[in-house]
Order: sequence, then C-alpha cells, then structure tokens
Amino acid sequence: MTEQTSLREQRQIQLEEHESYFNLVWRKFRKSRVAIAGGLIVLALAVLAIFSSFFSPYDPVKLNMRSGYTPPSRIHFTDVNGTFYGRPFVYQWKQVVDENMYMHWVEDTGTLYFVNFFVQGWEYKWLGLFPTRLHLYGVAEPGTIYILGTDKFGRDIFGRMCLAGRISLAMSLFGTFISVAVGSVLGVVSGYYGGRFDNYLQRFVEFVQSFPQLPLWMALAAVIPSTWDQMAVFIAMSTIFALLSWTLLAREIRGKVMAMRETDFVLAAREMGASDMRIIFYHLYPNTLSHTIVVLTLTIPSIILAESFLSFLGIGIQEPLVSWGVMMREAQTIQTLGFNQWIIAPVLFILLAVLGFNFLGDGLRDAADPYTIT
Amino acid sequence: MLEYILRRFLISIPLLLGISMVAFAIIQLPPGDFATAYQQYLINQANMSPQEAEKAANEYRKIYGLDQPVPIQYLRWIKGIVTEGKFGYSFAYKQDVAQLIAERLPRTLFLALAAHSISTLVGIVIGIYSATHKYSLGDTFATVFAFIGTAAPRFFLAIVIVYYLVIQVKYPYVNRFVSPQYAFAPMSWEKFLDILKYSWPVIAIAGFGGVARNMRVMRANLLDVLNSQYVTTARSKGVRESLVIYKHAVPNALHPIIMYQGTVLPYMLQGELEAAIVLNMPSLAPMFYSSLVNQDIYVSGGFLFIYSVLLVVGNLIADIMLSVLDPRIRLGQ
Amino acid sequence: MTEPKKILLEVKDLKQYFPIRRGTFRREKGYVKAVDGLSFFVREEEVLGLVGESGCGKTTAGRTILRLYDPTAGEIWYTRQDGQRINIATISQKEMKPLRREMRMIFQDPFSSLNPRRTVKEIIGEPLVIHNVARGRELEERVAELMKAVGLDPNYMERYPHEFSGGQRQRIGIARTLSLSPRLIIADEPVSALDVSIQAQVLNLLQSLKMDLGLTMIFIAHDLSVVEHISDRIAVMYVGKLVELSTTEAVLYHPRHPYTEALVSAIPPADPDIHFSRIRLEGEVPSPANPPAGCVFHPRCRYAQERCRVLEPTLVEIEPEHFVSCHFATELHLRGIGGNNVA
Repeated sequence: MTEQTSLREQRQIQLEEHESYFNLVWRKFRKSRVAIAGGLIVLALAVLAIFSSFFSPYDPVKLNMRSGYTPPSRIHFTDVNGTFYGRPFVYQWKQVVDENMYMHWVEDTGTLYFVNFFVQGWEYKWLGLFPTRLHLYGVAEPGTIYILGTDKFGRDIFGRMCLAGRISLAMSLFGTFISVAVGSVLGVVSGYYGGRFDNYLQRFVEFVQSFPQLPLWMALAAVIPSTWDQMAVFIAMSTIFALLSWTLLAREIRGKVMAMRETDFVLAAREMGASDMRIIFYHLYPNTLSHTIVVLTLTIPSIILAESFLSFLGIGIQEPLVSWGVMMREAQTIQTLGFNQWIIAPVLFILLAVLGFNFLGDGLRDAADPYTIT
Repeated sequence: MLEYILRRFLISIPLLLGISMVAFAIIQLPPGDFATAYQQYLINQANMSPQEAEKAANEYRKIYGLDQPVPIQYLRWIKGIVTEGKFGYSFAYKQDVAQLIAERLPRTLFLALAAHSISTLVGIVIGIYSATHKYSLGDTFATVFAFIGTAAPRFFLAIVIVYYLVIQVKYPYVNRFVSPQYAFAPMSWEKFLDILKYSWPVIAIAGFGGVARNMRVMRANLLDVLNSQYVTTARSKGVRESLVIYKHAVPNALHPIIMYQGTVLPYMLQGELEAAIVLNMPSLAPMFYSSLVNQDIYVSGGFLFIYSVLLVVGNLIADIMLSVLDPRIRLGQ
Repeated sequence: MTEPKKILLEVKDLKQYFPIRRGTFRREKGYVKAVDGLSFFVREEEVLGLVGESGCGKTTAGRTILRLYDPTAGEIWYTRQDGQRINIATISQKEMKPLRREMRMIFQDPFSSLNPRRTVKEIIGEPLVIHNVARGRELEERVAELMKAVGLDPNYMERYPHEFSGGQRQRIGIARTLSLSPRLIIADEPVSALDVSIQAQVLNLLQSLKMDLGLTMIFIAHDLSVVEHISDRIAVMYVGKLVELSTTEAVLYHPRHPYTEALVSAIPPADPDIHFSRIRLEGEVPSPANPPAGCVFHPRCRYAQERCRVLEPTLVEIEPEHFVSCHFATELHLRGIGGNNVA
C-alpha cells in the first residue's frame, strides 16, 4: 500500500541526485565565492610548497655569498630605447657608489636576459623519487632572475618561500591533526558517558585553557635541545602547538554529543542492542564532522601565525630547516631591513595562507549545515 | 550569585597551584640546573675561568638548595612566592624576580588594557557604521581591513611600524616606556601623555586584531537585531531612525560583546607580547624572551606564572561581570 | 470458544523513579515518580493500547520495559519462545542483548529517530548487522523485503532520511523495527507526529501488519480515538499509575473510572445527531515529582469524596477482564462514547 505521492513528485524523486551529506555540503559550498577563493589559495600554496623545486630557478639551499642581498629582478617588456619585445626580460643589478659614498643598486641595461619557461636548471628529485632538471622559468647564464630578491646568503627568496611552505604548512597541518584527533575523541567520549570522567575532563580543560598560549609555547619550544634531529624537532613543535588547541574542539564536540545522546536515533540504536562503541563511532561521530572540519580550518592559521612568530624569534625551528617565520628572522635587524626591504617578502605567503584558511573555514561553516535553509 | 562568585574564586586557587607546578616543571626541563646556567653565564659574561666558575656555581647550589630533590625545590619556590613575595633570583639582572615583575607588570597591564579598551570602542563604532551603511564603500573597506587585521601577524605589523618610525620618520620615542625625566616622577597628565608617545605603536598593534574582531561581531549582531521584529515595530511606529539604531538596536547588539569580554583578554596579552618584543618595549614580554634565550630560569618560570595569573584573574573578573549582567547565571541554572 | 492466548509479557508493580538533583553538590532532593506501581499483562497476538496525557509515564513505561532504563523496582516477566519466563527487570544489559531481537520499539518522531547521516538501507539493516544475522547481498534482500512490507519502494534504499516525507520516514522506522521479526513491539506514539491524513495511512499499515504477522503490540498513545480500532484492550494511565484496564469495548462504552470517562467524552461519536458534551476537567495535571495524597486523580475528579483524599485506591478486577483503580468503581454511573450509560 504505497503512499499517495503525486506523479510529479515521483518523477522528481527519480530525477534528483543522490543527496548524501557530502553532496549537499559541496553544493552549498560551491555557492560561496569567498570559500572557493580560499580553497584555491590554499591549493595554490600547497602546490608551490610540494613542487617548490620546480618553481625555483636556483637551489634554495645552496649558499651563494657573492649574490647576497640582491634586489628583486624587475620584469620588463620594453627596453631603455623604447623597443617593445613580446617576451619578458630582466636586467642584472650592479652596485654603484655615488659621491657621498652611498651605495645604490642600478640596472645594467647593457645586456637583456629573456625569461625562458620550462628550462633546465639544477637537479632535484621530483616528489623525492625521479631525478629531473626541469624548472618553470629561468634566464640564460650568467644572468640571474630573482623575483623577490635574495637573502644574506644569496639564496633566491621566492624559491625559499616555496620550500619554506613545506614546513610551515606541514607543521600546522600535523599539529592541527593531533589537536583534532585528541579533541574529538575526548569530546565524544566525555559527552557520551558524562559522569565522573566528564567532570574530570571539564576541570582539566579549564586548567589547560588557563595557560597563556604564546608564553607557554615559547617556553616549551625554547626547551627543545639543539641536539635533536629535524624530525624530532618537527614532531615536538607540532605537539607543542597541539597541546593547547585541542580544548576548543573537545568542548564543542562534548556539547554537541550531550545534546545528541538524548535524540531518538541514539535511543533507537540502544534499543536494538548497539554497543556503546558502535553508537559513539558509527552514529555520533559522523554527526560531529561538521564541527570538526570547521575547527580544523580555523586552527591551522592560528598555528601558522604562532609558528612563524616563534621561528622569527629563533625559538624552535633551527637552520637548516626553513619555514616562513625562519626566513623573516633576517628582518629582525632594522638596518638590514632598511637597506633590503625585500627580505620581508615571506610575510606575503603567511598572509595568503591565513586568509585562505579563514575564508575556507567560513565557507565550510556555512556549508556544513546543509539542512538549514539560507 | 554570591555563591557562584565564591565557587569560582575557590576553584581558582587549585587552578593556580596546578599552573605553578607546570610552570616550575617546564623550567626544570633543560639539562642541568640553574647553577649550571649561572656557571655558563659567569664564564661567558664575567670572564671567569672554568674552575672558578664551577666553584662559584657549587657554592650557589648549596646556598639556594639546588641540590635538593625537585619537589622540595618547588615547595621552597612556592613558599617564597606566597609568603614572602619572592620569585627566585635572576642572575642576568642580579635581583629577585619579584622586583622585575613589579617593574614590568604594570606596564604590560597598561598596554594590554589600553589596547583592549581602544579595540573595543573603535571596533564597536566601526561595526555600527558598517552595519548601518551595509555594502557601502566604507563598509567594504572596513571588511577588508577586518580580514587583514585577523590575518596579519602582529610581529609583522610591528616590523613595519618600526621601519617606518625609525628609518623613514626617525621618530625619537622608541625603546622606552617613558622619558628619563619622568622616570621617577609621580603620575601626572604630562607623564601620561609622555607614556603615550612611546607606547602608542604597541597599543595600536595589540589592538588591531581586536578592532577587526569586534567590528565583525558587532556588524553581524547589529544586522541581526535590525532585522528583528521589535525594530520593525519601532520603525513602523514612526520612531526616528537614529533613535531606533542607538536606543533600541545597539544596546541589544552590544550584549553579546559585553558578555564575551573575557575571551578577548588573552588575545590582547598575546598581541602585546608580540609587539613589545619587536619594539623592545620594557614590559614583561621582551624580558621573558631574553630569559628563555639565556636560560635565566626563575625569570622564565616567574613570568610564565604571572601571565597565567593574569589570565585566570581576567577570566574570573569577566565571569563575575557576566554573572552580574546575565540573570540566567545570577539566579542559578 | 477459542483458548485464550498465552501471556507474552507481564509487568508487576513496575516503578521508575528519577532522582532530582539540586544544589552545589547535586544532592538528591526528591524523585520524579514517572511510573509508580504499574501492573498489567499482554497476551500473544493482541494489541494493548496504553493511553494517557503527556507526562503520565506511558513513554517511560515503554522504555523501562525494554530496559532502556533500569527499573527502580518491580518485575517484568517475558515469556520466551521455549515457554520459559524470565524477569528482564533485573538481568544485565549483556544478557538483555539477545532478547532485544524479540522485543523492539517504534519511535514517535520520524524526524529525530533516524540518523540523518545514514542511508535507509543502513538504518533498516542495522539490527541485522548488530545481531550478525545478515550481510552484504543478503542484507540488501532482507531490507528490500522489509521496505516492500511497509509500502516503500526498495529502489530508494540508498537515499537519506531527509529525502522522505514524515509518513515515509515513519514507515522506515517501522521497517527497522520489524527487521528481526520481533515477537513483541512497543509502539511509542507512532502516529502522534504525523498529519492527520497520514496518521490514518500509517495506522492502517500497522493494522494490516498486525494481522499478517500476528504481532503482539503495546500501542502507546495520548488519544483514545487513535487506539480505538487497533487495540484489543486498553490501559489508561494517570500520573504514573494505571487507573483502568479492560477490553476496548468496555473502556470506550462502559468506563468505570472518572478519568477514563473524561477521556472518552472527548471522542466525537460517529453519529452527528447524538448530542455530545465533553467533560472538562478542572485544574492541572499534577507533577509526578509531587503527586497528590490518596487517589492521584482526586483533585480533578467530580465524584471525589473525603475517602479519596486520604486513601489510595488499588487496582481491582470488578468484572472479568475489567480492572479499575477507584474507590467508587462499582457505584458510579459513568458515560461512554456518545453518552452510552452503564447498564
């Protein structure tokens, strides 16, 4: 005895797409231009980081003292005589001392160096496996092209920024992952069982939240022995950041689970004999995903900012590991910054990363609740 | 309500004790002890020979009980704090840490609170403007500003300001809190203005993020309230628009912001920390940083503890104010 | 005369009290007596309607019987397939688990009783998975059968609950309840959350399922007209206590308890010519945390006497199969549906 759905409704049911939760979220997400922009920015930074060697014409690790503190190469299409060329080219910088003994940088307009694309350059391993010499752009030797100039050791800043993205992004992702894993599990278990465990956890959360974040991170990071190897330092730093940020997710999920455990579908699960484990992980946990995703995209930028500050101060990550904050360490001395303004460029990627993740997070927060009508 | 306040107050005490233990544990983490660092310091800065330094360090250990087990040391430390107000010794500054705290804590408080108040006021005002002139140029500008405000690292803003002030403008009021002639003078209007001359960059930077945040929240709240039914009623009664906004809408939109003042404090403290370190302002933060680098552990531990106390006290005050304002809490859940 | 069916479930003096915790240290300051001494039995293949207004404890009773709560006191005797009777009030949850295959519940709210993140197949099939009855292909086939049985198109089993209407979702819930071929079903207000026109459809479905599958059901409702057609017997609850229990016909046409009389008077009779007036009860339903002394209904009863204020009546079988909890059950002349008087 089928319910009397109209013919039109029946056809509509058949025409509609498979409406899983993810489909609904994706559809709503697509409508927000800001969120898409955020996603693209994050994606772009990730690509630059993962394939950083492809995007840097010069080995970002190799020292090249003679080219220290070279200003960014200016891209020209027209030369000093007014001739227009179809392709971009650069001039080389040379140092000139004027009558007052002040040093200026001047372009040597004698020789043009055209910018070539997909050039052969220094060797690296694609994805760590396949040796190759292919790079996105470059100029013929002995010319050099430094889009954002070089640092004290003559290393191309743009190339290093891309490389530094690996550590900055990876550390914030890893730290967030730890924080989310701990926070969500504790939140769900605490919310579901309540009672003494929940009480103790609440007190503990309060305790942890009473610590000032930045000073604690500074103190802990300063304690990391310089003798530790890079991987250990990376893990330690990620853990340090995770230490204080898990509480946010734990509280939110606990609240949501406490509300959910009284709902009928949880009761129905118990009625049919589901074990607690099953109820927690099969029923409750998927319903908390929306919270988790949003908190995740908002925790990542806060760790990026914190890590860059700590590295800027010289605490935590040390050379030869490089992150955006480490690169900005050179800007600490105001005189250096005064002469070589371009060394502050890495902040651009920090800004982009934080904005990108914030936009993404805002968009996801709106999309993650697809059942409300906007 | 009194019961609520008392309960919160009582909970704070074990909380602070727990924090002090963690702070003490952290500063014990590096290998060696305070005397080892002292020994290093003597060799590096005081040009002592290694043997002499070692002898001095051992003496030091005996005097300050550093050869005792860690829990005993902790108890001595906490006893010193609670009963005598002594936070341990700083070998870099050759004083008790308590004096350093006494010097610098008021400055940090002043900077953080000033940043907090300004960011709240400015944020609210801009938020009101933004909501009432939705999608106008000013609103778009403010929104962009808000996004940058939450995304830009505070130390970067500090660098930019220092660059501009020192290199371009050659602003003379840097690296100090107050001019030498006012250093020991009692507080006066002139002294206050003098302090502002030095501290406005730190206040501005610390408050910047807060302005952005308050602005966004205020704008969102006000927009919600302006869409609500009682506002529509007021308008249809013929009430003047400005009265509608300022007498009816704004106070209600303001409510959540006032409620959540407590969560803004840590944000201000951290902003002050970043800005003060870069701008080398003599508040708690730069000394905290240098103590970490020098392993001047009682300074690190003491300052870390003080920061936590600030946070706990701030939260307590915020919660108490919240309970006064919000009848739901006042009358007990 | 056919032999009366065996008793499937017997509840004896069931009590379910919830402690009230107040104060800084969450001390127990009293109890909400949701179910306060409930006794009845249900025979195989019969439908017992359990009615009462909101807060009378009927939902709590249903959940306690299925051990979703641990009873404060009392016995719940369940007769197993092999004839053995077991008191499920005191067994552990682990021992209860295999019995859950035989005793299932239909929930009231079709919007919150289905997990929005799971497909219909996963929802209906979950009991089969939990009790290791079927997997994969076989599971799909069983789910398809169940969907057809409740009037849903099996092609929709990969869809999500929000894609269905309220009535359809309730059918999904019913399919889920039937999945392990239970012997006893407790239906907790299964149509209360539906539109009236859909109510009739779902009620008809339950009726035909009862006849086809020989279900034993406890049908919880707050509206007598809902249980009128599907129940064999009706039990009336008020503030945690059972006030009347008898066959449907007796309860509706010859009620013996004043509360039942008031409930019955609210059912409009089918004949428009019959003049009917509702009995309006004065006062409010007392809180189960603070029930009145004596007879729990006395403050609102128009027949109340001094005795009722002081002495609590017990459930007495005044006629065969007719139990009433009232001091004056045999003396009062009460009206049934449409004004039928007791003889």
